[in-house]
Amino acid sequence: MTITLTSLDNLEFKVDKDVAERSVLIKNMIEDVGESDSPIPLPNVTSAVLKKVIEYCEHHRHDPVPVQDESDDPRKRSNDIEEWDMKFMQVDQEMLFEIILAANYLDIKPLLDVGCKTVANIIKGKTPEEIRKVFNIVNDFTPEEEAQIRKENEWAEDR
Amino acid sequence: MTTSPMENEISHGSSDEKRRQGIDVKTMRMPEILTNVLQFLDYPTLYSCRTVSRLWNSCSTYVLTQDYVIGCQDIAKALLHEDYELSDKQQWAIDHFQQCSPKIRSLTLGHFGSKHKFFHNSDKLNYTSLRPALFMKNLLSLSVGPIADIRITPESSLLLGEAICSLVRNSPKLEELTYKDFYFTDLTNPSLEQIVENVGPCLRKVILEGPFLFGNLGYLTKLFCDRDQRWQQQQLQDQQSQTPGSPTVPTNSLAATLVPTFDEKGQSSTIPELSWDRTAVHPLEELVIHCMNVSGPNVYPDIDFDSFQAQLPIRSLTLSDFCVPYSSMAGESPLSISSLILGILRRCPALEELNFGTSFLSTYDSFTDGDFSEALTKHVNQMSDFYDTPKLDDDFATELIKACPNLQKLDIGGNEFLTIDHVDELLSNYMHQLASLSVWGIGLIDEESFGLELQPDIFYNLTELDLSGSLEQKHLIYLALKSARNLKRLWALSIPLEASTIVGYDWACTELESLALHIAIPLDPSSSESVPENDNQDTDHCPLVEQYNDPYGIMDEDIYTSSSAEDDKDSKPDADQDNHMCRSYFGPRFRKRFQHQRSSSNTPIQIEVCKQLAKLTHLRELKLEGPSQGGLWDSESEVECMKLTMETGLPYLEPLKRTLEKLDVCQLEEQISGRRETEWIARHFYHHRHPQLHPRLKVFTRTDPIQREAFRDELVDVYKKSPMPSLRELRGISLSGEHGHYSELHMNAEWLQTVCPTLSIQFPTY
Repeated sequence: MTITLTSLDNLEFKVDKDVAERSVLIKNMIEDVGESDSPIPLPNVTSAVLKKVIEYCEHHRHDPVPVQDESDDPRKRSNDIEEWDMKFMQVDQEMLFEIILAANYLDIKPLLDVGCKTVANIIKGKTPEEIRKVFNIVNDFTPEEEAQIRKENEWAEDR
Repeated sequence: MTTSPMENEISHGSSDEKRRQGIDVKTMRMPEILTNVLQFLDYPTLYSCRTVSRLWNSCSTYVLTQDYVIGCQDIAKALLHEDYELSDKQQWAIDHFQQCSPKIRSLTLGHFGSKHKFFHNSDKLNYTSLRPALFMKNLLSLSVGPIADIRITPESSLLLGEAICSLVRNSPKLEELTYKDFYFTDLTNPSLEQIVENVGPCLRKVILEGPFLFGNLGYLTKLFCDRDQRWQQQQLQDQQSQTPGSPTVPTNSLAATLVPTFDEKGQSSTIPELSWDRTAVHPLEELVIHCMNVSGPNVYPDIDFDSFQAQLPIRSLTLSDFCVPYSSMAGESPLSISSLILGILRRCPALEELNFGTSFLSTYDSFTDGDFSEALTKHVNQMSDFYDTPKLDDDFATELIKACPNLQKLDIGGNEFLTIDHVDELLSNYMHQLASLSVWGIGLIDEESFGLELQPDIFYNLTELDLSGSLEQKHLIYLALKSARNLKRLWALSIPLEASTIVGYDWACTELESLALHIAIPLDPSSSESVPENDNQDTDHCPLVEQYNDPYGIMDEDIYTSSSAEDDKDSKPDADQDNHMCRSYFGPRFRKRFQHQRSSSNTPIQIEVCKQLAKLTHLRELKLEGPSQGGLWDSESEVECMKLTMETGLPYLEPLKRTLEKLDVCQLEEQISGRRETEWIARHFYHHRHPQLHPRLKVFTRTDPIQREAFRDELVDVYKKSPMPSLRELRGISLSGEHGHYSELHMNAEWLQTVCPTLSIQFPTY
């Protein structure tokens, strides 16, 4: 069965149902509304981003559906990105963050994780000042607050 | 007008400027996105992130505190008030724990060796009262103990017991509870009964470690049966009292993750809760009991299994490492042990997974323990000095099958209580439905073989198989290779498989992720072994390959002086390397002769083995066993181990580069430590995604430590920005032997460690 998805800029994309249902949001919509020919509007996703998301879902259409388990070990790795996913994420940073937002909105956890891992790899090993520079963040700590946090970090790392 | 920190971030440059800079600030201002990103960071980076901004501080702290560990000495201080002044650091630690408690998802309270940096060890620790009860509304996993090291007064130990019970009581979503050394002489609080009574309805898994008595199995079973009954009744009452149409609490969803909300200043304003549908009580699913003992002082009441009929809904049961001291056997009959174990099994009709072996394999380390079969024999002999191994009743297996007909996973590795007849009966009954089977050490211990009617589909459902040490079960390995299509893990340590019997046909188990084999290479290729006759599959005996494909030009003399034709195109000859070789123990003329000796008449079969292994493109872990001194190999042996050199097939393993994470060759000889071999590993297993680095690896000098460190730092920077290579562990490259000088091999290993900064390289110590 084919599902029609409509992007923010009113472009329509026809995808197989099993591909579309990689998105939990779309899957739930289909379950709630029932199968119909009406297009599913995705007002938060532009056509350029939706195209990339569909590409990802089509490549991973046969992957087992991830089971969300809150007792999963929160310590995760970012160095286990598959080669295809790595190439897929070689986009400009604007597109990278758009993909992350889209994956979050559409509830596609594997895609969200890949995007977040990619950003995590950007952050890894950087000093706070370097992180601020990359993401245009203003340091809103007072000097005393910053000193306190540094002291706490020393204590915590020493535990 | 003052602006909030958030507005400052937005006004810092126009949006066009931000687009030019390429970073969308907005996305990283969303706490749920930021927290998701931070989940993938290591601790040092997370601590750095705490000082970026207030928002980043909140999110990083949140991630950091999800897993909380409190060492033995700190437990009491964190949970109890005491009668002396604390330092700033100690007070901060207590306040920090109290503050973080609602966010913590995993808490470990226990003794961790000598790591007592935080608090002082004192003989007169006097605790006066409990600290305010910690409501750990998000705690999913709690591990308590061992805590017998705390030297506190009896009164304080009572308080500590109450504090831990309070922790358990105030953790309504607790799913996993580990209680180690709960039976100890100095500290008997809290008792197991207190813990079970206070734990909530979400408990799914319980792990008990310590000297646990067989005789307490009845009491333990009744405790959990009563608990489950209690919560089922509570659930019924809740359902009856719930008004129709009332909204149910949503269960897990991506949006309902543990994401804190923040105010404008980036301060955490609410502590989110894991969504929890209270109407769905989770029955206990898994019970693990390690280290059971038949005798000892009994602190729990004796409960006869026949005195209650309730059942445990568990799907997984582990009864491991139980032992019977000789001194306790007077008057004990094997019947009582059988009836105790069957007693609990009869209460578990839904059981799908039974681990009824020992934990030897999980503690075995080829590095320190050497050959698997030797290590197991030594372990068994040591145990037999103190413990007896009475056999279970003749009808034990029959009764087990009646009690638990739905087993899908059976682990009886190292079990000495079962007879071969028991094993035969269990396997005959369960084999067709098993997804996982572990019978390691069975054949070795009893020196008998268990029979198994071989049919083509006998391994159809199997995903895990461990036959290590079961020498007489070699035929099962061949059957698995040929028919177990779903196999993900195959371990067969200490069972020599002659190379010719595993090549020449396509293995069915192409999805293997973990493989441990002991491959024997015949010294005389003409005397190769054939596949055993009791294999029902038609098999062509694989003749030794006389003509073989050699795309790497391994046997070409010209490549002895260069590693790769491609590398030679653009790079100058490496004078430093040649000079190094001249200065080394082996000069250039000796080197050529030595390398020529590394190929021999059994080279083709070694290459075929490597080609066969290379087809396993899902492999994450590969362990290749080899000879040990005085073991299965001796000076008159007609076989030798794999060499894994450039000449004998190492390059053919290249297809594994994308997935292989761990390569363990600790019992092979030292040729893999050779110069060309280490260079190949660096290029093709580690830096395979960065071919632009390869020429630099080639010209890299081995003798200048300053240049080495500078190059290493450069490589670390490269891998900060790109995904790490799959290969993380290279275990067991030997530095001693007959085929290379120690100093040269050591230098090669050091070089490899330098150019592969995240690769953990370990050398055997036995």
